[in-house]
Amino acid sequence: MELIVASSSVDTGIGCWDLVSGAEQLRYRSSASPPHGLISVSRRFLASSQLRENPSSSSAPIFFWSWEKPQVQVRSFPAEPIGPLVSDSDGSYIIGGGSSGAIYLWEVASGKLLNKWTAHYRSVTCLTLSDDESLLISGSEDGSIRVWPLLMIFDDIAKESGENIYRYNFSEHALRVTSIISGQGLCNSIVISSSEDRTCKVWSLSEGRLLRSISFPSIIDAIAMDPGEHIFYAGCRDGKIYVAALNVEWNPVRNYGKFIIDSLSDNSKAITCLAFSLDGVSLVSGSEDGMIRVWNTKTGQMTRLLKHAKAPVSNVIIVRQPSKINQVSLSRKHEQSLMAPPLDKYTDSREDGVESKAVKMIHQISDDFDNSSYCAALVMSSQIKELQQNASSGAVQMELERLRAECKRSMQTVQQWKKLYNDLQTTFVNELLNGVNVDGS
Amino acid sequence: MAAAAAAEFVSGMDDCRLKPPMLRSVVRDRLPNDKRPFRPAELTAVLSHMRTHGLLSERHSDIAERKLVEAWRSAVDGWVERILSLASNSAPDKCWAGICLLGVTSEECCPDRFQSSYAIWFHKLIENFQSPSATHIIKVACCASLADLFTRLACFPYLKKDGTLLARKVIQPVIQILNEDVGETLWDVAVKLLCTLMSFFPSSINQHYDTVEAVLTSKIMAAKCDLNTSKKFSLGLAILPKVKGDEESFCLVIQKILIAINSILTDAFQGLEEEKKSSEVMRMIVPPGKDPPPPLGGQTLPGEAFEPATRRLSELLVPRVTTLMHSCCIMLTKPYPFPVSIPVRPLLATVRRVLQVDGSFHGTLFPLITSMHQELLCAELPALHLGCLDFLIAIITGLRSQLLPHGANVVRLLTEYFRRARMPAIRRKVYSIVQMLLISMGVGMSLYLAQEVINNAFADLTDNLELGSSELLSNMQSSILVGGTFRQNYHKKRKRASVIPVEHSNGVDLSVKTCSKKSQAPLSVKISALKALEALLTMGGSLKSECWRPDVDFLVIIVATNAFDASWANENKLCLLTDESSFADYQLATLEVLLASLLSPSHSRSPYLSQGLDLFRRGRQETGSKIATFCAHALLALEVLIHPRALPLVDHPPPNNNLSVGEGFYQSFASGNFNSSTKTNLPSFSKGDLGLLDEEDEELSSGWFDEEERTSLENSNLNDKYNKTTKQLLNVSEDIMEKPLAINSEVSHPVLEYEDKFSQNVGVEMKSFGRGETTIDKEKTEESTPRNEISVHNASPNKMDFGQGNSAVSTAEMTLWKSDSLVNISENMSNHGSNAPGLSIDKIKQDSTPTRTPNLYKGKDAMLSYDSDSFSLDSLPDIVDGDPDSE
Repeated sequence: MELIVASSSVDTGIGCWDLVSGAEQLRYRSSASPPHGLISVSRRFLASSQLRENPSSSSAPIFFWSWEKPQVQVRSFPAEPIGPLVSDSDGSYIIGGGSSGAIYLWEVASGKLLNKWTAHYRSVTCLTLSDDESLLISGSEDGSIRVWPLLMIFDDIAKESGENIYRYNFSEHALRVTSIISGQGLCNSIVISSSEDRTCKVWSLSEGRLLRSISFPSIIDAIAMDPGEHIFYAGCRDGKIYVAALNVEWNPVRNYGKFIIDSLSDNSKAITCLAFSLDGVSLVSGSEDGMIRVWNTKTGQMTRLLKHAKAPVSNVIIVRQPSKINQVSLSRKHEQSLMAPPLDKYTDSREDGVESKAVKMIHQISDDFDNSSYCAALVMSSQIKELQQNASSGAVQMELERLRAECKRSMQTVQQWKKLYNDLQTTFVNELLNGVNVDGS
Repeated sequence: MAAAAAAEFVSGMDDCRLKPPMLRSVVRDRLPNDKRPFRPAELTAVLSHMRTHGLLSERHSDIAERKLVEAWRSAVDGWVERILSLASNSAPDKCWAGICLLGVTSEECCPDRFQSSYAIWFHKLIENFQSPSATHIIKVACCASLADLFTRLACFPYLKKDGTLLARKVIQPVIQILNEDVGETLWDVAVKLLCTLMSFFPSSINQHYDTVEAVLTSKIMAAKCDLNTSKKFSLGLAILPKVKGDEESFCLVIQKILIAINSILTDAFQGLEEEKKSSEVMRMIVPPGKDPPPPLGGQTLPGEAFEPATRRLSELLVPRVTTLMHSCCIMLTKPYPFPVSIPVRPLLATVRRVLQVDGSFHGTLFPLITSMHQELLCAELPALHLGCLDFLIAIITGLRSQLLPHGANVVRLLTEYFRRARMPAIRRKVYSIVQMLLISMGVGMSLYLAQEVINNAFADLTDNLELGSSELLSNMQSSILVGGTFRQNYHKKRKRASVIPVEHSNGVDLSVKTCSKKSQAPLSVKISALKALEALLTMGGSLKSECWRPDVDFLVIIVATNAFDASWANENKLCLLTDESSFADYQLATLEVLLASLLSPSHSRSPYLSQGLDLFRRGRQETGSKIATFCAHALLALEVLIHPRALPLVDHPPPNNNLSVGEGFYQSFASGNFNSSTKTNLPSFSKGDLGLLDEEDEELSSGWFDEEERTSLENSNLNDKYNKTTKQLLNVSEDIMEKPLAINSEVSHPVLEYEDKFSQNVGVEMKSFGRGETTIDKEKTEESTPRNEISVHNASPNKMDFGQGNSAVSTAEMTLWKSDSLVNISENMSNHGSNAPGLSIDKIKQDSTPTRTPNLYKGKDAMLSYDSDSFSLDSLPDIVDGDPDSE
């Protein structure tokens, strides 16, 4: 089962629908999240950065919801408002982009702020991880896109050497980057970015260069790639979802522009977010009119219209069946262990202290049966072998016992025989004596 | 009659009706009883009989058959009754048999029976276990059977309370056994029983926690047992935190173990490491200002107090340290039912401490340290290092993605060690760690490890390559030449490429290596080197790999070809020589890395594709071997390279409407220039052609080269077209090249000469086209000249009308070519050319295509600048290429 999870930029909560049936699930309360600010952390819980309540406040919180409860479970207060969030598939880290251009990296299990670095001169607008989760790609309001090897970020020695810790810096976008997605492939994947300069650009991660630039009629705010990476979908401010070519031929029959194959349209307001389902067919779009639309990309038809709120939808994600939601109710303790502590505001001042460097692990609860193999049969076989060869002291001991018992038994037999013999003798002697007596008498 | 027969005979060996009588006959004929003597061999048969047929399982395929159910139940009743009577037999052998079979019964019997009778069985077992007359062998059997009983009991969650009660009764005697000197076999099963209790009924141990810790520690410190038993002791220590079931006890145990390890090391390493090392590590384990925990196993170690002075430290060092480390390994890798925090830094510091000791004297000499001590320690060090590397593996696997903050440290530690590691077993392990790191941490890790892997792999793999031998020369002439060239290039490139400084000379100096044949790496090391290389190519084959890919690809093909040419025949002979890895494994590993090298996307098409395919084709014919299986898989995987299903992403003009021709064209186009090769080739082609321009043009062009960075909008627009025309030629050339050759091996020869002349990556196949053609197709030589002229014409847009010019030129070309077999290709070309909505600019910016002087264009601006809007944003200068940051 896949869930559509959507949030809005105005406090209308987080809506949840079954992708297949369209049935609305639990609605999580109190969330007003910026674009790219809603994630599911390895399906354990939902996390969302929040917009500032009023422009004067210096910070905005990050909220966590567990799947079972509508209320906010954990509130964190980072040092500055966080826009985009991203998390790795293990749910070990949450990475957030700040409005000052800094990127924050927290450890989920402990809530520790492991690292914070200045990534851009203007605020970070979108973050994504490469396919193998070793590279972080960040886009900024100033149009620059940078690629960060996560290992390098923690490499203090390399940092001290004064090198730039980013691997690439793409500055082809003239205006604010609105969305970035990364494709499949270990080191040869592509990255697609959209920008307010009305273009989407396709980058090669391995070569670090621009492969293709596609101009659209209006600003693109959201992109989603078809799982086969043949085409990608670009949600436009004119309310259309354009289909652009990656690995397909482009026939310039329709008049959309270079590399644009087709468009999906429902006369909606601007498209703000897109998500592609794992089934490879369904595309989900969120729009400024507060509606969520599910499209069948094979037919190009809209298959479902879900009403989220009156306010614009800012995030749509598709989450596979959240882990263990349907299983027997978890113990309270276990439930807590699935939830994370709040995220720290600052890096631990005891940076070099041992405590702060301990890594906290949450293991998947599993029945540990690997040291539980039955052993009696094995022990028995090996003992039989010992006995057959009289190979060990134990075997010899047992043989001794056996012989002892046999000896005892034999002794008993001997005794018996002896007794029998004696009895017999006495009988005979008696009889004989009696006979003599009789004869003699 | 028939019905009667069906009732009589069972339907086969799986028929359940077979089982009750079978079990009855076992009880009747095989089991010892009061009269029948005990025969061990028969018991083996009974055991296997029961387990193969599942005689005790009472699992029916058909519930309805009441008769069968009844019969089976009574048969098992009989079996249990007999076993219990045996277990109370006074004869030790029969009693032993009863106890063992009771253990097997509690594993095999059906759940209902177990629940109803486990208490009785338990009492029978504990009775025997505690009886003063019990012999050693009976105690062993009792422990094993009790362990099985508790294991089974753990399958019934609602019996947990009962189980804990029963477990409490066992703890005391088990601890007592472990404290006595009763011999290893009994210890082994006793600790196994203890582990079972700890993991399934932890609350039963609660009050004995300290005793258990002490007894396990003393056993580990005594180091009297063999490896398997010691591992069980370390397992016991590792699951001890489960007893209390909280994070603190886990941290405490791991902290205590680390302290124990380090204090042993401090004793052993006196004089062989820096003095302050020990206190440094200790400070990490116990942060200053905190109280150190009590030592592992309580205040006094009973085993150590009575340690005879005859046992030397070095004798105890390795077993103690490795066993304790093994405990840590288990703690790191096994799941615990509560979140744990792992003190990564002290763990890594301990690993680093061990790995840094190489047996040489360090700093000031202690008077105590004799050369004798050093000698003894050096003898033990390899084993210690191996144990330590296992520890490192456990840290890496245990932390998974959370290793990230420490990744750089681990890599530095490993690479430093790698440079010093000499012993085959150690090198093998280091390679496997490298492989693991590469696969788990992805591209980011490959940026760090690439240079190290390559240096080491070159050293290990090239030591017995017969480079320069006649055999190789004849087989792989071109490759050798490639090698020669890139060896020169390599050093040039390395100066600016290497991120991690390389101290020692790497194996690329093949000439040196071939001389020193004495340092041949064993096959097993080579195999792991190949596997590490494979991981590198898989994970990071294309990211920032320009500086090493050609070298590695070359090495791989050479190694693979050598492995195969050397020895289809003497495979068996070599098998005998090497004990652990056969030559076949080596061949398999070479093929695996070859596949990775061919598949891993690179910036130019692999020049060794045809050789690789040939090897795989030959390998597939080794019927029945693993190699054949793998080769089939490889051929399937490589098929994608031959018939690519994806179009290259790099911008190029789309085909015309007639798809049938267009598709064919696309196929050949894409396969010829997989990904970016086209683009990089373009400039070189035009440069080559420049040679054909007349003098003044050449002068002009040299000026244009300088100006190309400042290409104006219009220029790029023109360039666009210009590119198209060159690309047509390129397509033709690709086809020419592929048709007669189909194999690129000979092509690579001129390639590298060319590469010498011009800058590294440029124009590899283009130049070769020019030459390849003359060698291949002599008839075409006359035609090639006019074509070159055409290309010149194409390349000079000032003479042409671009609106229709392309197709005109193309058709002109076509007429020239009518006679040969390339007609339909040139047709494609014309389609291609006439339909030219323009390339995106970014490509052109990166090309070093010679451009015309601006003033030549100026007049044509208006009519040439179609679609200029789309370029307006793109024409910003591109700074991606040669970005100084990325170097």
